[in-house]
This record gives sequence, structure tokens and C-alpha cells, in this order.
Amino acid sequence: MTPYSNKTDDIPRYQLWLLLTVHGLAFLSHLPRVPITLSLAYIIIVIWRVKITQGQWNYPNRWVKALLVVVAVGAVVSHYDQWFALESLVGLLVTAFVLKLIEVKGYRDAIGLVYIAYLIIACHFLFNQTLLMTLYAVVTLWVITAVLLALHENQPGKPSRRTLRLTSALLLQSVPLMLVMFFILPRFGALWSVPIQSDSSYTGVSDSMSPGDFSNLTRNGELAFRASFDGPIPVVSDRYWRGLVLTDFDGRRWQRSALSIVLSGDSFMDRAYATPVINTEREANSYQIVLEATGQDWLYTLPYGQVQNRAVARSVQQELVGKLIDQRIQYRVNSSAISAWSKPTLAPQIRRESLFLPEGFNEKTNAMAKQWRSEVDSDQAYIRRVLDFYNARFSYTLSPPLLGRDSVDEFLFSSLAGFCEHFSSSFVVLMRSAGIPARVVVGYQGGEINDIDQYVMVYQYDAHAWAEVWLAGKGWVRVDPTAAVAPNRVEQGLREALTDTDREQVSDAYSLSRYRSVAWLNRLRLEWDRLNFRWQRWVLSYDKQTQKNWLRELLGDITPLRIALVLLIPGGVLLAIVAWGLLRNRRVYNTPEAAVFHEFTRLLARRGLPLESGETPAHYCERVSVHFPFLKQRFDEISLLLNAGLYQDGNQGDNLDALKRHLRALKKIKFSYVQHSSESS
Amino acid sequence: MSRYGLLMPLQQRIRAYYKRWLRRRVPPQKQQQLYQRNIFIFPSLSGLTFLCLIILLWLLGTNYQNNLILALSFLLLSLMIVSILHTYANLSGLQFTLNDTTPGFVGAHAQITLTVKRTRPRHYQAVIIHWAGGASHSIDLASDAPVTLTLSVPVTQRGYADPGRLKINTVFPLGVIRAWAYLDFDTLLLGYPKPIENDKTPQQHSLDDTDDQYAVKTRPGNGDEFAGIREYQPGDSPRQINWRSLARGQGLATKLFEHNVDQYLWLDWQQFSGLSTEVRLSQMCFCVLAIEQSTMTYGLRLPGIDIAPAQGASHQQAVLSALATFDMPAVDRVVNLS
Repeated sequence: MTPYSNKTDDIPRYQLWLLLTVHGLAFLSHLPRVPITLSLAYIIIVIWRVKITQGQWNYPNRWVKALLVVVAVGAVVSHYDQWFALESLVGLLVTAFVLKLIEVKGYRDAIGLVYIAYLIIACHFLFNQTLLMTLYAVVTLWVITAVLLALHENQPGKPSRRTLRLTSALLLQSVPLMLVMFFILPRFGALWSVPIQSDSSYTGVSDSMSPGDFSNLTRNGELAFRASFDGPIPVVSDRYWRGLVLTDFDGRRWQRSALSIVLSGDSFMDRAYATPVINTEREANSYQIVLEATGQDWLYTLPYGQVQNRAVARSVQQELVGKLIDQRIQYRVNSSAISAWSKPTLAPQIRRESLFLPEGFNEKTNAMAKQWRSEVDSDQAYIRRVLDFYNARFSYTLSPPLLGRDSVDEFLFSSLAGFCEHFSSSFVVLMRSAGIPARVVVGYQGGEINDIDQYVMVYQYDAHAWAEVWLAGKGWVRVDPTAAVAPNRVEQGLREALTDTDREQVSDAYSLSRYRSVAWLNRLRLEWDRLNFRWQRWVLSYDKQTQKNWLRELLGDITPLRIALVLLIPGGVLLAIVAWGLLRNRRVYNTPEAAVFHEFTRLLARRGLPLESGETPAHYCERVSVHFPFLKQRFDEISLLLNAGLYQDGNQGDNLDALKRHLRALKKIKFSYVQHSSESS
Repeated sequence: MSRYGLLMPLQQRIRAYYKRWLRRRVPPQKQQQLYQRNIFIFPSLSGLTFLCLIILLWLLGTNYQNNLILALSFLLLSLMIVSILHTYANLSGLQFTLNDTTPGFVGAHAQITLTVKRTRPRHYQAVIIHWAGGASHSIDLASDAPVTLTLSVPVTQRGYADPGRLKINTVFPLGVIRAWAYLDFDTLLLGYPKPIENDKTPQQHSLDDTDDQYAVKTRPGNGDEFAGIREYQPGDSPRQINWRSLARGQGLATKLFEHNVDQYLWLDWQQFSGLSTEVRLSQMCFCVLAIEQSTMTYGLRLPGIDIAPAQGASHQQAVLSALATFDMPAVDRVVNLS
């Protein structure tokens, strides 16, 4: 069996086991994302392939293959609802990979399968870069490489320990080289845009709000983002992670403003709008956020954050909007306290939209608001009255009664129980009815502090909606009506604010944190999260910009020549080390006497008398002693010793010391032979 | 070369140029060791596919700003680069020595026996050796003990011919890089004529044929029946020495045996007249093989060549060689190369 002879033959049984291992490991990494039918197909195909090799079943014919392809592709197509997303394309690739197994016949097929396995593992990184899955991928890579190596070996049978050792050696020799390329090879921006996942596969705060949206999110225990602060972490009641502003209200649903005005900075247009003026006396909160993929385009920050290392636009509502976030991103924010707003009044169109209410909806609320406002003398007093009203009569619940057409009327006057979307929505309607510009803000509130490493973990169940009102002289002010009803929600988090029956409902989301009371378990959970967070930050942090800064620091000026030098010098040194290990001249000697003889010939070669091919040691010694008669006795002795050591059985090793002594003595004697050729005379 | 000028097709000219270049770079020798001058290295076909995979991963990683995919693509590229050294090391330091050649018939295979030895303490794996057209051997070398290989080379023409270069290649360890060496062992292979079946019976001669200069009786045969004793002549087999007479002090004597067939044959060029030289030789070659099976004594007569009747392997070889080289120009390897 040679590696070449099996190019067309059936792969031998031991190779099938190797391929099945690689195939299984690669497929398993995509298991959470592929339809269940594909997993079933996988099992059938593995059994089929094994039966073929055992000679019990046949390869599928054309029709069976076509049927398999149609069924599998059909299952994948129906599983993903959006075609133009990488997720479904990868789904197809995995399907092809699974089906390919049944076709694997010879060497080329086997190599092809191994190469696709590398690709499959790489695609897995598109969706999952957690520490655990990265470790899994590293192990799988090692196995794939070992199998690739075993496919080129001569011995049939299981890969030997040698195979595994050589695989490790190859990979370990490659890693330093990889690191050089990773850090120094120039990075480029995105080349095409196919979203990674379809829209429906994301969870989280969306760009509209209807009753019930947020109470659904509370059942979701997925991570939304983590934030690590340079300074102290703000207290929980200050941790309002502002995301999106909803201003358009149709009586039931809140949506983003129809005015999409982007503030570009210092232009004339910008100065028409009220913007926050940073209070330079107080130190800004500086922190880093690692945001999980949202499928949306806005970022979350503490109020009025300035994003440092990512291209985002600031809207007139002070939202931060950028590219579609279809994978985990990292950004740095400075959130400063503000001292004032740049203008004392709102721009007319902003004022108009912040006061807009649909005609013919929630009439009762409208009337009550107008009356209450007329009874007090300031906007602040009115707000206080509304909050007192919430505090006195309302309850906070995850499962509020369903609301009809005039949702705010029904909520305020009959159901009296709701969740943050009900409170913020009704509050803004009450404000607008009383002539106070107001808007809904959605985002997250609070988050759990990981006290091992001092950062905040924000989960989907921390999603929250609150309000902002425009007060003359003060600008936009945050008001959270939920805090008036359930102060616990804001101060201790959702769980503490819920009644026992509600708590049951969200227990799934809290599956891990439910054991918070068991100290060591909680510590384990936090440690694991910390490790993951570190890993993610480490993986994400090295981007184009970081590389550029780092290289500029290293090289001064980034030129192609310098990049090439920085790449080639360490790369060359690393390769030279590997080459030295592999190719350094270690001669093979059958016996130690042979090594001594070799040294002896080298010594004499330097003196002008190299060993001639086919010459025996005895001949050589004789020839040499003719030229150096004063050493004849020594050479005769050496000749005898060599003959005994090299050719007589049982004598090996006895004469070694004597030989070495002669060699040392010869080295000290100065003699040299000059060949007198005809030219020199 | 210039005589042919532009008339020579370009491809042929390139091939001729390549051959001359290779000859300068890797000159013919009976013993050759693989080192940087005679080892060539390049990505294999699967290696080029592997390179495409690396580029695909790089594009994927760049587009989605995915550091892990980028790292993987760099790791695979590094594996490929490191493989260059490993694949090179898997040939470097191997020593090939030509031992022996066995002639073959045209249309069949001749054999070349080689010894492979390592000069560096390394476990050489999956080194594939073959001559163009011959079967390939994949060898492993884990110890200093030399390995002897018998490789077959197809014989295409009668007479002495250059077998071309031995092809040694390896894609170990990962199959992405191929290293190869083409060695010329400075040897010529003898091609016997292709045997062509025919029903010609060679001339039979009886023992009493007095005009024949080769009297069987005076020849020591190695048949079964004792025929007498004569004085020892140089070249007689030691097995046929009459030890008894030596012991008696009568000097060396050779025992004579006779075959149960009391006739010998002449394979005569004249007998195969009316045919082209090649067909004649081929038919004679067939007769040689047929006679050898019948254990008869036979001789060969070609224009200018006479081989006395005899028997045995060396006799057969002499006869076949005469047939193989008959009417062939002396082969000069250097001329043969252009």
C-alpha cells in the first residue's frame, strides 16, 4: 500500500475510521445551527458508509444520490427563513459535507473531505468564538492535521504515536510563524456584505415597542453585553444603558423618529438643535463594551456617550447608529456628565414630534393630563404628581392583562398593572397631553457586577424602557416611571422586583444565576464568565486600527518595505531554527570506532592527505606513513587498533580509548604534506 | 543542435534544453546522495488546492473581521511553509547506489537493483521510487541498514539503451508540498530481441558429424551418463574433477558425462533468411528460449559471430546478448541524451 496506489482504490478501513472521526468532529461543531433532519441524515450516512466498507451495502446509485441531495437541501432551505445570509450558506456547506462522506472512495476524496473539514471549522468561528468552542476547535484542528498526515504515511493501521508526535511538532513549529503573520500582515476592511445571520435569529431590544415586547425579553437569559470600567462602576440606579429613542406613537406602537437627522459635529445645521454640553469639571466614565450580535445598528452606552474606536453617527435624538451589528463587537466609550444643553429651546420639528399624539386615541388620559397640569404650577410638579399616582395605585407584573384599542386609557383607568413598556408609554402620553415634550427610550438597565474582575454583565432580561422629558432650562431629563412603581427593579434588578408567581416564569432565563445563593457555584459561574470575557476581549481587540497603531509605534513609518522586513526577519529566523533541527549534519556511524576513523581522516585531510575512495584503513595508514616516516610507528599502531575495532567481532569498544589517545596526540603534532604537482614545479 | 534550427518543434527544443540543464545540474553517477542541488521542491496539486482554501479563509476572516478565522488561515499557511522543510528533509541525505542490472526482452521489463541508505539519522517515510513506466515502490527507512530494491524498467528497443532517470519523490508529511529528484545512474540497459514464435527447427547435428569442429565427445557435458575421463582443461567445472585419480597421484583429470540426447543444435542466421533483421533476431531469440527448456546443447552463428555449442544460464546470456547487440552501433550515452 503506497500513498499513491490508493488514489483510485477504495480507502482502506483504518482510513475510514480516521475520516469518520474528522467528519464527526467537524459536523458536531455546527450541530446547534443545523436542522434536526440533517443530524438524522448524518447518522444514516455514517451507518451507510461503514456498511459499504464492510462490504455489506453498495455505494448509492445516481438516483439515490439525487434524492439524498434534494431531501437534505430541502430540509436546509425550509430551516432558514432568509436566504441572503451566511448562516444558510454555511448550512448548505455543512449539508454538502455530510453528504460527501458517502461518496468518499479514494485518496483524492479523502483529501477533499479533510480540506472541507478545515473550512467547516473556520465557518464555525463565524457564529461562536467562546473560549470553550475555541478549545474544541483547536483539538479538532489537531485531529484533522493528524489524519491528513496519516493519509500520507505508509503503514496501514491506526496512527502511531509517531504520527501524533509529528503532528504536534508541525503545529507547534507553525504557531510562532502564524503569530508573526497574525500581528504583522496588514489587515483590510470588509470586502463584501452578506449578513452572517438572518434577522429573525436575533433576540434583544428591537426598533419598536408594543405592549408585551419587554415582558417577553425577561424570559431570555442570553447575554446582551459586558462592560468593563476603567474607574469605579456607577451604582445600579445610574446604569441606564441608553439604546434607541422612540418618538412616533400610533396609539399602540412606539417607533423610531421619522426624522433621521445625523449630527455631523460642528456644522451650521447641527447648531439648530439642542445638544448636550459636556461638563468638563467632572471626570468622564470611561469604559469598554463587548456587545453581542444584535442584528440592529445602534450601540448601547450610558447617557450621552462618545464612542472612541468605531465609526458611528450621532442622531439628533443622541442615539449612536452605525453598521449592522451581526457579530460580537467591541467599543470604547466616554460618558461625561453634562452641564447644560446647547440651546434653551427645542428645534420646531423636534418639538412637534415630541408632542405628537394620534387623534382619537386615549381621550380620557388626554383630558386627565390637561386637568392635572392646570392644577399645578410647574412641569416638575406635574411630573411628581404623575409619579405619585403610579406609586400609589399601580403594580409591577410580568403578565399584565391584555389591552385594547385605547391601550393607555385602559392601562391607567382599569388594569392598573403592567411592565416597563406600559409605564413608559403611558407616562410619555401623559406628558405630551400636558404639553411637555417627551419620548420613550429603550435599552437596558442595571446588569450584574462580576466582582471577581469588576465588570458588568448585562443580560436580555435587563431590557428596559423609560422616558425622557424636555424641561425648560434643564433640557432633556430622564424619568423612569417604573422606578416609581417598583423601586426594586431599578435598584436590585428585575428578579427582586417580581412577585413569586412572576419569578417562576423567568426562572429559565436565570437558570445559572438562580444558584446565586450557593457561594462556590456562583463563584464558578462568575469565574467562567470572566475567562470568557477576557478571551473575547483578547480575540476582538486586535483589529485594523490597533495593528496600525502598534506597527507605527514599532516602525515609525509604515512602508511596504518595513512591513516586509518585520515579517521576513522573525519568520526567517523561526524557519532557520526548524531547518536546523531537521537538517543539521549528524553523521551516522555504525560504531564509535568508525566515528574516530572519520575524525582521523578529517585530520589528515587537513594535512593534505584525504582518504581515497575504496581505501581501507590499513591501506590508508600505510600510505600516510610513507609521507610522514617519523610517525610510522604511530600509524602502524593506529592501523592495528582500527582493524581490530572495525572488523573483528568481540573487540568493539576495547581499543576506543587507545585510539582516542592517538588522535589527541596527532592533533598536537605539526606536520603537513604538500603535493608537488607538475604545475608548481 | 543548431543544424536543425527552427525546424525543430519548440517543445522538443525545450525538452532538449531541459535535459542538458538537468545533466549539468545532476550529472550521471553510480552512487548519488540527495542534497539541495538535486532535490527540487514545489507545492503539489493538492497543495495548490490547499492554498486556495487558505485564501478563502483569509477572505472570510478579513470580511467578517474575524480574528480566529484569520489566525486559522495563517496557521494553515504556516503549516504549508513548515512542510517545505519537512518534505525536503524527507529526501535530503538519502543515498542511492546502483548495484546491478538485469537485461529484459523488448516489450517486457529489465531490472535494476539499487541500494538505498540513509546518511542522516531520520525516519524517512513514504519515499516513492520508480522508473518511467515501471512499478513504483514506497519505502520507509527507519534504520541505518541499507535497503535493496529491484525496480523494473520497460524495455522498448533492442540493444543497449539509457534507462532514463530514476524518479524519486515524496509528499510526506502533509501532501501539500512535493519534493523530487531525478537521478541518472550512468548505466545502460540491455534489451534482448522480443521473442517471436515460429516453427523453425534449428539445424540438428549428429555426434558423428565429422566436418564439425566441435566434437561433443571432447567436451565436458553435464548430462547423466558417464562417458570417460580426460585430462583437466582450464574452465572445467570443479564438480567434474576426478578426485580419485588425483588421490592416486595421477594429476588432475575431468570426468566426462554425456547427455541422453546425443545431438546438439546450431542456431544459424542463414536458416532464418527471407526476413528482416529484427524479425530474424526475434525468431532466433524465441528458439533460444525454446531450446533452453529442452536442455539441449546449442550454438549460435551470426555473420561475424560464432558461439560454440554449450548449455546453462551464462551461455544463454551470451547468446541473447549477441542477438541483442547484433548490428547495433556502439552506444555513446552522451550522444544518446540529445
